[in-house]
Amino acid sequence: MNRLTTSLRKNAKLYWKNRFFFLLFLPAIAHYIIFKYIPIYGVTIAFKDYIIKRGIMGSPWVGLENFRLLFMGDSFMEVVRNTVLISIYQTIIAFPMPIIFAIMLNEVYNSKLKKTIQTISYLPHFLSWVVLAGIFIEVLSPSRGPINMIITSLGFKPIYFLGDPKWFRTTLVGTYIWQGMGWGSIVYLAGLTSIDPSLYEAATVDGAGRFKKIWHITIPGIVPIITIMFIFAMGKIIKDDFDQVLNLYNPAVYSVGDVISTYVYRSGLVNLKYSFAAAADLFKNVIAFVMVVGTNYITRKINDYGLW
Amino acid sequence: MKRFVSLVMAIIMLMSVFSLTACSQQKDNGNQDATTQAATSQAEKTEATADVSNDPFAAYRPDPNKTYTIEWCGGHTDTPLSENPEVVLRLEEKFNVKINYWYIERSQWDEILNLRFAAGEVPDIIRIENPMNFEKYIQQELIMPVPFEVIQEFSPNLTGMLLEYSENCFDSVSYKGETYGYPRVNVNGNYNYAPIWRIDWLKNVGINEIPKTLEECEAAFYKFRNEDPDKDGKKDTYALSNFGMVPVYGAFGALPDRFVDDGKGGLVYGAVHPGMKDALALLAKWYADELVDPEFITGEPHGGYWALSQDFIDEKIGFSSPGAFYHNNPPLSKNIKAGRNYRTFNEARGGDQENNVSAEMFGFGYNPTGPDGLHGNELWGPNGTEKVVFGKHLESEPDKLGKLLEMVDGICGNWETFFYIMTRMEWGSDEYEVTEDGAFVRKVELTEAQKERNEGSSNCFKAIETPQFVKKFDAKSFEWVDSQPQYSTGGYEPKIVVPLPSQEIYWTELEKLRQETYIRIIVGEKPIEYFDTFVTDWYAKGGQQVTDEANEWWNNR
Amino acid sequence: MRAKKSFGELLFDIVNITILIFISLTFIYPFIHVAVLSLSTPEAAAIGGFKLIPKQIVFNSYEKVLRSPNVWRGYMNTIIIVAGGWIVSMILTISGAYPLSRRNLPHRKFWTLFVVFTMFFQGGLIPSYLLVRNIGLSNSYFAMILPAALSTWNLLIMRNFFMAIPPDLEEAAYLDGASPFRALMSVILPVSKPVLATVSLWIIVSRWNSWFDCLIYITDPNKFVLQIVLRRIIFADTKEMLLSAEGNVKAMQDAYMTDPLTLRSATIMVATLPIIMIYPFIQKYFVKGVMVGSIKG
Repeated sequence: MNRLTTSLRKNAKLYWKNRFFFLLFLPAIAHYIIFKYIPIYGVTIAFKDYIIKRGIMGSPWVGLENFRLLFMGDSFMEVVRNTVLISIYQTIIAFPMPIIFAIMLNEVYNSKLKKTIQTISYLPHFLSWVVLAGIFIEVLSPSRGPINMIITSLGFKPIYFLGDPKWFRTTLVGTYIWQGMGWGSIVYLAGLTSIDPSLYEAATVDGAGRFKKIWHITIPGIVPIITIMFIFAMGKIIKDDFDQVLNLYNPAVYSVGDVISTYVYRSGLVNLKYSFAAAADLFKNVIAFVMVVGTNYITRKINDYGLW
Repeated sequence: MKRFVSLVMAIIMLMSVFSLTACSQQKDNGNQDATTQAATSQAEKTEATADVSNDPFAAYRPDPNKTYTIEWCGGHTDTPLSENPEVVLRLEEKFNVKINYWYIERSQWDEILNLRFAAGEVPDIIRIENPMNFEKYIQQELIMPVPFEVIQEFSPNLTGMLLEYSENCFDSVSYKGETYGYPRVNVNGNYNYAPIWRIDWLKNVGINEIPKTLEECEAAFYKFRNEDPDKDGKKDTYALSNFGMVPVYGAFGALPDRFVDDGKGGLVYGAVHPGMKDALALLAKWYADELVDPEFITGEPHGGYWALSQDFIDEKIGFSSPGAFYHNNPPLSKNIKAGRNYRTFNEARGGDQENNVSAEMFGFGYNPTGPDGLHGNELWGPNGTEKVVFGKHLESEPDKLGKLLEMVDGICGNWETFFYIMTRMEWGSDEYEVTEDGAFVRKVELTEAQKERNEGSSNCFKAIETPQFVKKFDAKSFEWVDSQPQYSTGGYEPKIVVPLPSQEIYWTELEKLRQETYIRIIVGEKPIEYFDTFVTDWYAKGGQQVTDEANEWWNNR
Repeated sequence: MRAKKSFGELLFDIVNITILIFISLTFIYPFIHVAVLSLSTPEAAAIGGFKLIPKQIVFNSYEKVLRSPNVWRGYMNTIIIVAGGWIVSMILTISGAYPLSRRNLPHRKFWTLFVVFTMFFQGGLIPSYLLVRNIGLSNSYFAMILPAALSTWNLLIMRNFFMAIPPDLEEAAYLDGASPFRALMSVILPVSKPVLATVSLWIIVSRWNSWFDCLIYITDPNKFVLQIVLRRIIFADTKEMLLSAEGNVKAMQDAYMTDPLTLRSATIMVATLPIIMIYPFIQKYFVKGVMVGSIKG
């Protein structure tokens, strides 16, 4: 009892000492409590058989039944595998791309050109996959698309990017990178502008070339951002880009391209169980959370810009 | 570490506290459902004073002095955009009601309605599109059964016309022997899909008659691929793509995506119908011989409008079966435009409404007859899958239900009102003239503001598309299609229009298996013998249960 | 005096710029494609293949979209939500990120977990919807601003930028006796223009594009945001039946003149161009060397 009161008293003193910080923090805390923590009881839907009239709290518990229904589908493991594989490719390949793009742009001295390219690079982000899919079907077509025209002129056979299981994942990752590269580079560009230019000047005096400067100044300068972006990227490994896959896939490539959310979507059309989708979501989120905490633990060894 | 643990426990404690507060909130909502609607003590009054001996429907008779407030959920897309559309005012006046219409976007239908239901709001009348929702709403006690006699009593005209159009249409809106409302019949439901041909290509390769049998089609297909039908010196043409495969399946007795007659009085799912093995063997052979466009996998519309055959328009293929008759009809008169495929094809060749340059190119064909004399294509069937049903809370307000039934009859069973809703003009007035092709043309143009004001309001209240009325609006189109036997006879209608219990568990996997297998066999990745393995697999993975349930439902209708 | 560029540097520049230009062409193509579709007749639009220049420019789709007073009201509503949302969100995000960036904040790990936890575990749509209703925010602009006002992602990015500011800067302010609020306003924020600009951009774009919360919380058509109005225009136009709502054949022809594809393209342009043009204004905050000045001065 004594230990409790002393520790409470210690904490009270600490909080009083930092009261202005907590005053600042208060609106944010309030927002989280009201809009994020109060509704959190809804997580339990994944474990219930939701009966609308009884509300969430009043619906009966079914334990892991919804999860069982999810996992028992023959293709479920295939679907999880696809989701994870595609995400891993995307993470490994797509993660550095906006960084590289930002660095490349940073090296352009003509500011008009730089601004123009930047603005253009955001455009794909604003187009939905419904629109982009129609365009990619044309662009990647084995018979009419320019990509294949280039391929055939080099002497190879045309590739059916969207219809060939061997190429579909690559296509997904490639188009995903293409769409997100410009928009994703904004945050790194913001970081790049915070780097002290005198560092570069000093390096020039020392005779360093472009690559050396990039390696020793530019990249370290944006490590705080790269760290946190990387942790979140790891968290997204179990998530998928529903819109992208839904609009680009077809039955010929289900075996490699069907992901968790498209699978659940098709099931939803049949059984309309709210709890089923909720269970799939919870499953993904638990894994994502574990990934994030794990990655954070590792990056903590390197620097302190991780989560905590 | 200890600190961390205690911190985590603090979080859990916090969360439980909040969950409890939320708990009490939720209880509030749970109790609210029936009482959020308008005054309901009406119920006791009507039941107590009903004179049962003279009028069995007394409870349902609407109170002539009362202005009911109707929560009208007319369905997706079409809901008035502005606040006071003329149509709404007119209906409110005619029926002495106040109408609150719900706007629910189709793609978010379930999400949004779930939210409303969770908050205790249920509309008085609701148009259900997804047949799966019908059973779900019944089980969740959101909608109520309405005795058929009551519907007939209060909506005599509409019921009469519906039964005249399709005598068993009310089957699709019944569950366990009880009727729940009106079926939304398909006006175009009796028309089969049918193929289109490049008739100039046929002529160029020496065929002067539209092929009728599967063999004749096959001969034509080989020529389409190998004998340069577009006469450009390049081997760049194919015969068919994914749409064109459907009538080929039909020539062997089934379509793979629906339940069909098994020839012994029962049902079998098309995908595992034995005739499909022959169909697949044929398609695989055609694929190997390059008659089938290898890009059939991404589909003829190229990601665009579902019934548009981009490949046909772009002259890549010479045979297709894209969409319904009204996607393909030629221009029929000054006012009746060509169907989308025809129009686009025509325009691509420099033509337009007045100048039909495609008449010698765009032709209409037959669903090919197979070796057993069978033929057919997609047929929606007159009995639609959509339904119009009523909120459960109306059980305690039967007079309001009666009022709604009368309203629907008064709109969809009454020509003058229906005409008004469709055109915003008075029937019999001189606001319009009737052109020679039967179209009703407004004499004085509406202003933009007027159009805007009424946008969306007709389809919202057109609860049922009464076929007899609808056909009066486009008589010429229906005249045309009735004269084309390939559209007006035959076809494979989906036999099962209700969700079957086992589908909930097995259907996603079964459908995935079907789609993947069919493609694999056609492109040659698997040999045709694999079909037998597929059939065994399909039945073993839940297909047997689903088929049994289907037959049970079919026999007990 | 700038050092003379070596041959290696020149080569680097040339290759760099060439690659960037080439990539930019691929970025801009789809947008041009959509723009061309929006200016085409439905038939021309349906002819497959590449679209770089419209065959024949028609404005039917734009007329249909822009003549609607609902669209203009939609613009107004969206601007209100964006402006209001930006103010509220920035206040919440900044005031949340700054304390979290202080390495000696009591129980910092706990508070960070408090915030991060919600990124992965959420109650879902139904409880949030009921909450908003119970608070009385239904059908108000606040329903579109408050619930979505604070994004953990934005919060943490901003926190990390704050953490990267050299500690001397802050300490100088505190030594002078300033309260955290003063330190924030006079030292931290001026030096954080890039991240403030970035997060602002994210907030503005996200609010501009949002439509789902409008759909569920707002029933008064006068409060519909632009995206909702545009979606309805598109959906209303994809009518299967031969009949038009007007019964007037000429109106039916008008409806056909703007088929879903061209109409959808026009709505994309109408919805997206304004927000793309915001970027140049944000750009000037990505200014180099902002921090340097404050240390030396």
